[in-house]
Amino acid sequence: MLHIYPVRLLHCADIHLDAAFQGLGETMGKRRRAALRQTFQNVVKLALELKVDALTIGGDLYEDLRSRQDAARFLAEQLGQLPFPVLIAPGNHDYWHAGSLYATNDWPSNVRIFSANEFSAVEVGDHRIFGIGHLKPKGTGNLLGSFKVPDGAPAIALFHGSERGQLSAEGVGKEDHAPFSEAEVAKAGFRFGLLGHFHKPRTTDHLVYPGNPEPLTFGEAGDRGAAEVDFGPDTPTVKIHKVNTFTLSDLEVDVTDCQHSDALLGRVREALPAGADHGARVRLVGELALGMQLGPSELVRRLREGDRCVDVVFAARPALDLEQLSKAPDIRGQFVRGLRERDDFESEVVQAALRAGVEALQGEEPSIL
Amino acid sequence: MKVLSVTLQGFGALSGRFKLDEQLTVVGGPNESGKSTLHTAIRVALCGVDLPARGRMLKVTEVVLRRFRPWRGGPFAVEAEIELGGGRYRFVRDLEHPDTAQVFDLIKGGEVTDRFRRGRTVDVSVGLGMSREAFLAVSTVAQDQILSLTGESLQEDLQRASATSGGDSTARAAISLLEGWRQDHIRGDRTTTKPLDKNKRPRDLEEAQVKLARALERRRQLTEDLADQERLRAELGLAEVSTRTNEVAWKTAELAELQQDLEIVTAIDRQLQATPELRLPKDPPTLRDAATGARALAQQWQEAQAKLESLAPIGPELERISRQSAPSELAFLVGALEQPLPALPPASDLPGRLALLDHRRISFQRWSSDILALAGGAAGVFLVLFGLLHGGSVGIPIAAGGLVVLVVTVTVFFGLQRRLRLLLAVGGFTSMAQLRKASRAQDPEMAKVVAARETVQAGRSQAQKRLTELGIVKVEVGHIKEIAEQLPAAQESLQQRNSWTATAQRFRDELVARAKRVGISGNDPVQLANELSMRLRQLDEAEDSTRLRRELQGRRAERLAGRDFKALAKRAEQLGRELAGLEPIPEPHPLGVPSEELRRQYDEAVQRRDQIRGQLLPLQGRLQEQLKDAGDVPALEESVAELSDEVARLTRAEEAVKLAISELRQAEGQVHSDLAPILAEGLQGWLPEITGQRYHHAWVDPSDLTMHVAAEDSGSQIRVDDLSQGTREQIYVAIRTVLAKALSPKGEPIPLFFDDPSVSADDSRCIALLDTLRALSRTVQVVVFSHESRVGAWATRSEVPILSMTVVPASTGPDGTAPAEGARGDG
Repeated sequence: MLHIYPVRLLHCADIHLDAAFQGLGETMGKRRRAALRQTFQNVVKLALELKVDALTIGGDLYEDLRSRQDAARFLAEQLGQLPFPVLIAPGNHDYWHAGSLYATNDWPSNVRIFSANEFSAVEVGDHRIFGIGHLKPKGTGNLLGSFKVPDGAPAIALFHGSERGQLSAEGVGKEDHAPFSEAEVAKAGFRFGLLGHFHKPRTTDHLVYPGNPEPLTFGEAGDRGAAEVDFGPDTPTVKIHKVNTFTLSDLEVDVTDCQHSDALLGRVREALPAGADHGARVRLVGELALGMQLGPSELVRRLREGDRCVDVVFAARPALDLEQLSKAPDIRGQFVRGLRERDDFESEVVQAALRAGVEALQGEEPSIL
Repeated sequence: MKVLSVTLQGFGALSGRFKLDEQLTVVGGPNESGKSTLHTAIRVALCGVDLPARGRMLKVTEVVLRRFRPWRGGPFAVEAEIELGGGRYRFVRDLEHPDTAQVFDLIKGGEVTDRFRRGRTVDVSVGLGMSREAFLAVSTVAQDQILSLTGESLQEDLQRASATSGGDSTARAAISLLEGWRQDHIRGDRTTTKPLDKNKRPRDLEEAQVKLARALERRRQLTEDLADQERLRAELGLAEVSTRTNEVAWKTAELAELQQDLEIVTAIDRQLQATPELRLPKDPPTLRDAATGARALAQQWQEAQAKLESLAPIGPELERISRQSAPSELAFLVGALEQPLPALPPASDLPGRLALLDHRRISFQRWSSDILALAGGAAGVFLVLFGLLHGGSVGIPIAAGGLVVLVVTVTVFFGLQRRLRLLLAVGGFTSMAQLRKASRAQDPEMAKVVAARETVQAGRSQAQKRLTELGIVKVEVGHIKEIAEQLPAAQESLQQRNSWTATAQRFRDELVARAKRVGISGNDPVQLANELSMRLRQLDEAEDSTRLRRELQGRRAERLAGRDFKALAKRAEQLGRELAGLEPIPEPHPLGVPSEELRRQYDEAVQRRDQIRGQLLPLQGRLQEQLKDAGDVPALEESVAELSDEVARLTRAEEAVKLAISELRQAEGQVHSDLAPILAEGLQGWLPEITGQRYHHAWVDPSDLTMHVAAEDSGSQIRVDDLSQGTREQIYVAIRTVLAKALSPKGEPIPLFFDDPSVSADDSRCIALLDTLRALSRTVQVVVFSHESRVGAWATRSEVPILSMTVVPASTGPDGTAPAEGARGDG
């Protein structure tokens, strides 16, 4: 019986260095990008601590259009200090092309970038790691295709792709790059698949998506990070290590009874998590008093003071007894009735119009900005 | 709705039950008697205090509760008993706990608080289907609303009432406020009624749109440039690969060609080295001309010589004679010799002998010998003497030469003398002396015989001379005849000999001449021919060598094509070094493609690469500038996103404001349209009565609620604004009565509380207004708060119930600041 020596890998993906953080402002964007680099350094540090046999990266290490030589030099410096191989399978965001950072920079000798559109193998211990890269930002088909692992040592697949079974769980907007099914991994002869693309972590008997180690947008909660994968004679074991620098959370704050702007600010600030490396998306619910001279934008601006990472979702309704108001035979009643009859009454614009109109009838300036 | 009574357990200075008439009640009393406190108490009893849905109490509510706490302590509670919609209800409020009000149904019994609850507040307005604000606005008519009553303010009041039941602003004011706000904060379109300040900078939305457009343009430019940069980098990468490939291919091919050239040239050089460089004679054509056929000539010469040698030999004499004479001459000479000499007369033969002599020849001979002897002797003696005298290696040869000269001179002299004697012997003289002597004696006969003798002798002499000339030593006729007989054969033989000799001579001369032309001396035709042949061979060899060398040199030059061999070798060495430093390519040397073509392809690749670099460098410079201005790409995208959000936010706000304005206009039009006929009809019902039958008709414009009235018999409409103040006041209170019903959602008439309505009117106006109120109170409960005694007098006169408020002693209020005021209800 063939004895297989254990192999330990650290697998990560979807770092998205130099990503743009839209909606948080430029200063916060810079901080978040710095956090991405810190997270990658954490991955490198973890790889050294775990004494792995190789570090594998399942694509989207950086963002092609946004990243510049500085990122390449940073990566080269970080990866160059590792005393074991680093295998990179470019994804749709860091696809390999002649002008890419992969192609236009000198990489340390331990770094192997899979720049071909067909699987090629690197031996790590008693295993062979077959990698393949994306060569275009869109339209990459099934990379497994009709590939069959040639006879030899146990094979592990490393690539960036969309496992069809998980695609729906990723939500609307996640593009179907290099689609494949989990069954195809085993069918091609691979013992296990080290993957990237889906930001939501997932581990099965046949593959692992470690997720993006550093949360990129609100809503990316849950354990994510770098996957320590041990290949022994039995089923590979996967352990996810958290390496993130920044934490994002979602909060809900009821603003009913906040009669003035300071009360509103105070209530939201109380709810925010402490620490500069914690971002929060605050959903304002309840009834917001009329005449509050603190519109959504100003509220966000005030909450972001001190470079806090805060986003606000306005779900609070104007503090109005619409039933009562709409019964009145006066213009205000008619105004409220007119708006309530609209199909899009619940929309942001109509709610703002309601608030603005009622406030104006009270002789107060609208507090909708 | 009617307020039947209000019971105050303690509200400021007031306590007790205050009963109100169902139609008209006058609450009278001087200032500070508690009218306003009662007014507030009624309001609190009906509507409670303003409480938020949750959390802390409003500041204004706190102020009210603090101000009206019972001055004398005790419970702080109010009750109100009302009639509403055919029912009777009691509102009980413990103001220590403002949100604990209760409502009891006095007819059916039981608590019906929830029927009047709105949030934490229990409010009679809930039962009316109105908001608290609207109820209070409709039910309360403030002093100033009547004080400053004009047509315009009346209209505005109506508009306000129609907008918010009188609580807040008018719809027009609200729309104007929204438009102004939009102008200030978003900068909407020019449809706003607010005049634009042209000097004012465009505000938020436009600024944000401009900034966004710039940011988008920057991003577009940056994105395009980055894409271009990537494309150019990719192209550059390919071009560099192509350049390297072409360079390797070209240099490999050139090196191969150079090595081939060098090998060939080296081989040629070896051949050249092996081919001696022979010197060609000066004039090869001449040599070739001279040497060509030389051997044949020599051979022919040899044949001629052989012919000559094969001819029979002729004696020298015969040969000589054969050459110089002919048989006929010899016969003639024999005849001359055999002709007999005439005999001389014995005495007279001297003249004849003299005549025979040729004196000129004798004289010539004599003088010649003399001069020769003299000159030769002198020269010889001189040379001998000189040589002897001089001596040494020079002198001896000179002396010897002198002796030779002397010998030659002597020999020639004796030869000449012998000839002289022969000449003299012809005349028979032995010496010159005899001749001279004979010359002096002459005889004609003698002369004739002598002449004849001289002729014969001359003949003989000539014959002998001729024979001598012919070398016949033995001048004998027989001998001469013998010679003459042999002569024809000899001459034929000689002719042949001469002919062959001439032939041989010609060949030899030809060879000699040829040899001479090429600088060879000598007479031996064979040797000459050999020499010429040898030279011709040498010439041929030299020419062959030269031709070969030239050919080799031509091939060498052709191969080198103007290049220097050493330079080629150096270039090959350099190429070898360069190729060693270049990354090898799989197929460096396409077959059949010359290095020049590969070089051209390399040059093209270099040109292409340089062209791309030329495009890339300024692009990278521009990108650096752009990135310097815009920050990095993500930052720019974030900025764009931020601006987009800002634009979207402002756009949404503008849409919201526009919608609000539009809906307000629509609501205004709708409400005015609905309200105008109600107001007109309501007003018209009261108009004759309250105007003393002066006006019977009323119109209300639905667009702005302006009112017009007209007399019964007059068709002309009069603007309410143009009526007297008193009439306007009457119309106003009538309209408020109508509104009190019209603005009640359930059509329930709302009680009206007037605060000193006639304070500024003269007595007649005051009375007219109060009469109007009394008339109006038939349909709407009216409560008039007044401090005027004339109002009290009118009430007494008109039998209107009066609630008299009395001044209470001054005391300190619970907050320590309120003036003393108080009264007690009369129950």
